[in-house]
Amino acid sequence: MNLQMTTDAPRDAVSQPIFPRTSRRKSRAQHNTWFWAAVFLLPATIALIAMRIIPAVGALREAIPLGSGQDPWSVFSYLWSDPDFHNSLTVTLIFAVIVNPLQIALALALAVVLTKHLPMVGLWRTLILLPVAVPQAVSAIIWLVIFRPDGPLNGILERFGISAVPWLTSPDFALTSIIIVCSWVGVGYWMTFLVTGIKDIPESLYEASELDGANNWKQFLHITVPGLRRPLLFVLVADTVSNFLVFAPIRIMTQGGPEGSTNLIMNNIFERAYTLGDTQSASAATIVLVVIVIAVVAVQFKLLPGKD
Amino acid sequence: MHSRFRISPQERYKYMKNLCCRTAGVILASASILLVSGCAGQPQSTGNDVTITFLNPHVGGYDAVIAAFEVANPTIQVEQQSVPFDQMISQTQARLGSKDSSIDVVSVDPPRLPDMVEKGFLMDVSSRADEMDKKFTESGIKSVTWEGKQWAYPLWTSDNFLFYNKDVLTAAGIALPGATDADRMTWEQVLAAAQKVKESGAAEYGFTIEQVDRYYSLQPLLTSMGAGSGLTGDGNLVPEVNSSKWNEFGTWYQNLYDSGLSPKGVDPAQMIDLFKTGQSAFLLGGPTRIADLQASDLADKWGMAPHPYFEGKEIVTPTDSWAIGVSAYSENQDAARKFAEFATLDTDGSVAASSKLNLPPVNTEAFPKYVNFLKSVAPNQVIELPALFDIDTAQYAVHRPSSVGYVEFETTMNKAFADIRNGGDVTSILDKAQDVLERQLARRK
Repeated sequence: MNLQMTTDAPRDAVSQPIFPRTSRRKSRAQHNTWFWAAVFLLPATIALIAMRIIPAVGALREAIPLGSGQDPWSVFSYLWSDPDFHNSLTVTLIFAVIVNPLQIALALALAVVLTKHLPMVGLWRTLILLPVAVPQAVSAIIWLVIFRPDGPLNGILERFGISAVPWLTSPDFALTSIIIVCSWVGVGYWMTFLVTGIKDIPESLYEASELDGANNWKQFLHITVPGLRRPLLFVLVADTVSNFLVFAPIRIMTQGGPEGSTNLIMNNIFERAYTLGDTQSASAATIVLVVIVIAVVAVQFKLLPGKD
Repeated sequence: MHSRFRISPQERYKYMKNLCCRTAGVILASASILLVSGCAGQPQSTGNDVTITFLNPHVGGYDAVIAAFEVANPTIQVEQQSVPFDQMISQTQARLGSKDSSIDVVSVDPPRLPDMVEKGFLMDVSSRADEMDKKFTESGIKSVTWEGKQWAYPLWTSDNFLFYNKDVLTAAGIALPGATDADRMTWEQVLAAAQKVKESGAAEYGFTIEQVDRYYSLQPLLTSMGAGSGLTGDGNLVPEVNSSKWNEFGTWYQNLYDSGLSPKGVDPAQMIDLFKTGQSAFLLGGPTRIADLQASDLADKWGMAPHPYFEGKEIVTPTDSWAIGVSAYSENQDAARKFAEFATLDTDGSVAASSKLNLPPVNTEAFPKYVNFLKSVAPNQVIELPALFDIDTAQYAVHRPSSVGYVEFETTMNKAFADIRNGGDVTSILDKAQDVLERQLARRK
């Protein structure tokens, strides 16, 4: 009876150690935990291997054709001698330098404004987030019409006495137009992460600083920004990566033109692989892209540590 | 504080085991439901049924011929994968380039055929050459022949005409163009009339090209102006796109847009709507949309005239159109061939294939029926079309160059034409296109 009571008593309340049984059970339980963890991880691991690792190895083998009699670096030397690839790298870097700070600044500004006590704040947030719900291809087609030289946007500008802008027809404006489209979709999305981050900052910090006489700007600089480090790092890295991979708006709206001014690297890779059927140089260009993305993200991690 | 929520390893194990079993159960149950519901949505299979997939760039274009085929062949279903026109090359390359066996039948644009043959995408269908000789025009067979063998079944041929909006021309005080070969206008006359329309304010634009910036539409103009096809040499692998004649054409083409006679920045897919809504007086386009025009607000308010030419120069018209090929990687090649032959060699099938997109069939028995169909749809507009089509095809048609490098050529030139339309420097655009093509085509030799 006593024994029964002892063994059935809640473990926390048991003062008598029952080491031999528990440790055996513990190790069995641990073993089983690992087993089930492996079972749960298996689908993701298989997907990772099938959809990431194997294609990556395939791309490497295509780009560096070892043992085929071809000079292993011939594909890269062809790529480096291609003015189209140089142009596409330049356009991609210019695009990244402009679009990332712009989107993050806008997302941050909107997040700050929309966490203030505004009337109908839910409506504004929904409206800003709404473009994310529109499929990229659909929004690109809509913007294609909006940006037409005789389209609605120029109609509005002309109504205000501003001359029509060659949005997608001039090499000087086309990249700006693409930045507008990408930001229209992206800003609302990244904003939601920052809104959540701001809401996690204790209200008491703002109240205390208010008592100390801090104004809105000082609160933003010394409370909001430091409190947002982790979500900001995530947004910065994820936004940068996604902007290196922009494809659908380019394919649908400009195909890289006019005169190569919007030929972002993903479009260049796509054309190599699927228009010209040159999978070797497409693989090599993909490897260059991956190296650039890893380098940029590494620098971002270094510059903006997410640790508290 | 949280001690009552703490759980022992044993309990955790039990909990995990329970959770795993339950999760596995839920997954299995969901999978079974999906399988059952998936099966319920499919027609009952008799065991011999085959579904073949047809990759094409013509949404809805083959619905009638597929319906007729499925009635005649109840054990074969045809599933369509229709992609936008501009994505056809990339889809073909992506799917057949990876030896995707789920594509059985594929639309083939004849000048792209040599490249597809070289890459091993298409099944040799030369065994049906005798039947093809009996049914198809010589030009149609030629369009699918590469190095002495037939690699697809020719479906349509094509021609371009000058469509016009009667109300707009009348409002601008311009006489309606005649429909016969003798009435053929020069480009100089067409553009003068277009200018008059623009000045009168009867329409926003004077003249538009349906397949704007595409080599298919522009090659006849280039050739009429005296410029070459752009590809020369052995196997048509030497580019020649920056000669003085090409530059002359580039300047002419750019002027259309700089002068405001034609619109900049409008996609080819939107051109027909511009014409249908009365925003353009003239449209250079194919017979594809005759039924579509009659179904629009412009019904009976439009007419067709012969393809124009440059004054004092030769008359040149486009030709060839999509064929149907069988994928070399298809696992249902017999069923795929059956469908391709039904849509092309079978007279009724061929007529059905022209009922939505009204392109002329190369099947000689189907052609008169196609004409009758058009006459029933647009009796007043197409009176002269059969005679004009015969003259154009026999005397003025020029084929696009056959080359394994045609895809590179067309892609580069279409971009160059778009850049010229947008107002870039003609000489530097054509010089750059020449450089790009020299690099790309050198790899195909």
